[in-house]
Amino acid sequence: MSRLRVFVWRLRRLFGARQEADLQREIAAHLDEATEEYIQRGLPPADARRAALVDFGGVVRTQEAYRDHLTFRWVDTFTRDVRQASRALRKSPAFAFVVVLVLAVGTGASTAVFTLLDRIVLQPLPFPDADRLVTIAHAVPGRNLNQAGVSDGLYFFYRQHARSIASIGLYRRSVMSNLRTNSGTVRVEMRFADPEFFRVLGVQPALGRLFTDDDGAPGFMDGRWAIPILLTHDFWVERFGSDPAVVGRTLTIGDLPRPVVGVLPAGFGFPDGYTQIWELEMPSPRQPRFAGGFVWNAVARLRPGLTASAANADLDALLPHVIGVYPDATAAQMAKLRVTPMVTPLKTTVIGDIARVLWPLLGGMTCLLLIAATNAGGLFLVRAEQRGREIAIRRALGADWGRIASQFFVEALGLTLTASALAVAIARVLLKTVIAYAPLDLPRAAEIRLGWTAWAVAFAAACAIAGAYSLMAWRRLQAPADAILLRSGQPTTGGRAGRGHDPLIVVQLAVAMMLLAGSALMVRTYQNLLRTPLGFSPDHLLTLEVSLPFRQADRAVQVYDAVVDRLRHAPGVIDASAATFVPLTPTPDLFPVTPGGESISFKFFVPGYFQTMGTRVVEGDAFGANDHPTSPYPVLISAALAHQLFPDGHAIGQQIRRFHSDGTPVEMGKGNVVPPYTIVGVVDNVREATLRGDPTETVYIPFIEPRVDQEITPTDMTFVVRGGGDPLSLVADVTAAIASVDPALGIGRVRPMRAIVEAARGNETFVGVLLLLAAVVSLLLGVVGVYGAVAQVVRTRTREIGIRIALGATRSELLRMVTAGSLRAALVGAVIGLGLALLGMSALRSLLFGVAPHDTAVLASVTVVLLAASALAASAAGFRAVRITPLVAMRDE
Amino acid sequence: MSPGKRDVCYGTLGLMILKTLEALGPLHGYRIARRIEQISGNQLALNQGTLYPALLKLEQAGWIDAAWRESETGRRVKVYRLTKSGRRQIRIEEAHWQDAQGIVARFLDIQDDTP
Repeated sequence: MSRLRVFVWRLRRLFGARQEADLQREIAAHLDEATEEYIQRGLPPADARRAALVDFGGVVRTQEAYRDHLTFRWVDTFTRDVRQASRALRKSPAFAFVVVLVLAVGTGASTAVFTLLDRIVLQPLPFPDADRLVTIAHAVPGRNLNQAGVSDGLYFFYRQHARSIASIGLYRRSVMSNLRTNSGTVRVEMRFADPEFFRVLGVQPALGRLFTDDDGAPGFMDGRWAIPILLTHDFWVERFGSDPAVVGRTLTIGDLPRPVVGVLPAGFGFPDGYTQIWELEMPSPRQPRFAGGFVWNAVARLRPGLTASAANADLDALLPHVIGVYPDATAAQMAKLRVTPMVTPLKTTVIGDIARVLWPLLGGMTCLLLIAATNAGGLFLVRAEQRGREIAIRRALGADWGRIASQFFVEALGLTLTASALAVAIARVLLKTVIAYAPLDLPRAAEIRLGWTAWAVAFAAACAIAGAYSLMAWRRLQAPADAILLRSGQPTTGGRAGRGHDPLIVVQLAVAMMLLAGSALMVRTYQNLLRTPLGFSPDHLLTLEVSLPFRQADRAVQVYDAVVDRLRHAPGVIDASAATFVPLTPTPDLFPVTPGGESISFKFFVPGYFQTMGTRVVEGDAFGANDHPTSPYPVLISAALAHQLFPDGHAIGQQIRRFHSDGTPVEMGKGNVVPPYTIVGVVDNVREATLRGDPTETVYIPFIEPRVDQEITPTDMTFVVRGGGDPLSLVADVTAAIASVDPALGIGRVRPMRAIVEAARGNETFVGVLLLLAAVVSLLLGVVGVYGAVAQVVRTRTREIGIRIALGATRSELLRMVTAGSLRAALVGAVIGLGLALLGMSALRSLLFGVAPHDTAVLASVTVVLLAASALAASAAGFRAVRITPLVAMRDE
Repeated sequence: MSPGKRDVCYGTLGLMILKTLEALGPLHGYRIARRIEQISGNQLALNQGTLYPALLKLEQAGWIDAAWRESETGRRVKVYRLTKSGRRQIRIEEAHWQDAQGIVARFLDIQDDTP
């Protein structure tokens, strides 16, 4: 007969068939007919019935044979196993609950972190053929630049001559600009891009069009042609309510008309998620310079089959040929600048160093999963041991091992799958929480979601764990099956009892040790970061960035003075001031103060800034709100810079000047060297750039008339406003005060200073908190595991303990007897864990601050904590043994 | 069951059922069982229960179909009926049997002097 046909028939019957009930009715009718016939032949009814049954030959066997054909045998066995397992689990809900919970937490945490890693680090960028995309940057040691971009000249040169590059697009950051709207002026985050940029990435517009080469045709940038802009999807939704009519409208940005030609697709988050508007800009092919300024960021698409390093080699070889192409591309210039191309896969550039945060986290969460699985495994083992008799009886009645093992597997699988489903829910919540509240910027955040990979990971974990459990339980029960059955009670001595738990304890404590060590190191790091003196007082301080409309640029000092003055009188404001940037944000202006020296950050400030910030002026003129300059072109310098320039301590009254990075002094107009600054004060060291490393060397320039160095005089300032309570409660009054000076002033990035400080510790806090949570859970589980193992020893050896007590064993002897095995396992686990920690903690090295990965004090204290907790748990469980009386032991039978 | 009866040869029960249905038309399980016993002259020890898995197999193969009807004694019984493909199958199986029988017969006829 056709197998396929039978298969289809069975498949149909699998769902909603009532065949078995049919058969029962059929058999009943059969027996009735047969009985009736026998009665008609003259047998008494009871005998007739019996004869009919004899003829039939085994109703149950028929049903079973029938069932074999009815549907697939394994399905039937499986449903029976499932039914049996669910019955068994219903009888012990506490067991089921604990196992599911423990596994769900472990699996959920690792699924969440795996998803982060997968989506951010492992998955390709959401562009076609994303593996061919690279960024091109240059190191220009001759200008003290480690990470410069591409100059106009190099762009045209590469575009024409680089064989490894199929196409190259340019973009760069713009200063934030003021977008005029009906409801006031907002600062928008803008970037520039050339027409090729979006083509290189392979982006399609959601609406309208992208930039075209015609946009860059003659007439562009000469005032006769309005420069087109593109909106990012988020900005379009947020500000224009997804209105398609916005395409074709002209927005006013920085007083200039900018027609909107299109909207970028949703999820386009390159190079970051903040950008709101892209404006067309491109290098002019007229008189490009080789070394004019390496200001462009370049993305390029490589020719198929090429790697970033191959392209790097290609550009390396090509670069010397630029000599002579441009007037400034001379051999001498080349020798001085030492320009080196750096081709990096685009993904590496986008994800930055987040991998160094995520990999250790995945390691930590895998440890947590391992410990959770092992812990739940201990529970399974106890349960298997308790069911030893039942299994043995079933064995004796003819159940084969395969069936018993499969039943264990089904029971375990039921629990692990439930746990996995719960784990995915936990992972979802964790991810949402991380994205919303984690104090760090996750790259590619828009792409993070739980996909099938997460389900696959959770499902694979469930199956693997269930397989391991059933194997474990099965092996445990195989050997002494007959013995368990034949003896009426427990064995008198239980040398092996509870031994099955020892390897589990070793694993749990080794893993707990790793997690504890990792989290302890992160806690130390966090403490060290907290202890780093900031040099200012971040509490109750609000910061907001304000930009000036172009037409006001030459009145910057007066406008900002007016704003500061208005702010100081705003309700709830205690003090207010402004500077070009606030601590722990990117420092824009870096110049040497000695010829060829290291670049130092230059910071303009409105008088009174140090008082507002709570920064101490160590020496000299404090430049308070109403102070007037006593010397021409005064500056203050940080203590670190003072120490570096004037080690013998006489900084006040000395003069410094700004140099170009090539060592020439700054000029103001042709041939007029900018007069030097006079140092009037020394400021306490402030963490301007980073919490780690040496304090930043900074030159502080008062933002007053006359302005000495026009070239770097800012038009944008960051205001700092100190209130008495929550800084965010000041926002309404502060923005109103600023608008009252000039409604065209754009306000952006309103942040409490405290939040900026916390963001600077973001990576460390993030890893630290998650590892700490994992470590606490793992310590708890490890300790519970030890307790459980000892308790199991006591349970299985109650009789022996009773006899020993009757024979005069002391309590301490007994305690030692029941806890020895588990404690030995704990010690072995701790030693192994210590070894693993020594090997594994270097993965954290780049995150650590002020503590070495192998810090002896940390490792020692973690070992002590772990062993002490284990000993405590073991003796808590062991004391139950000591309280056993011989009478109880006998009754225990 | 008396000694000396033969067990039903494996694989032949299906053919017996099909032939019975062909000869007598639609029948329910008990009638089929009785009829097979009668035709064999009560020489076969048929465990009547084994009939049902066999019927199920035939039904799955599409050679018979079944419907609930009223028996002559007024019971609800499942009545089996030969299908068209069942009729074809009988021809095929008969041919197989003839072949098999012929082959076995030749072996039974083997004499020592056969070359």
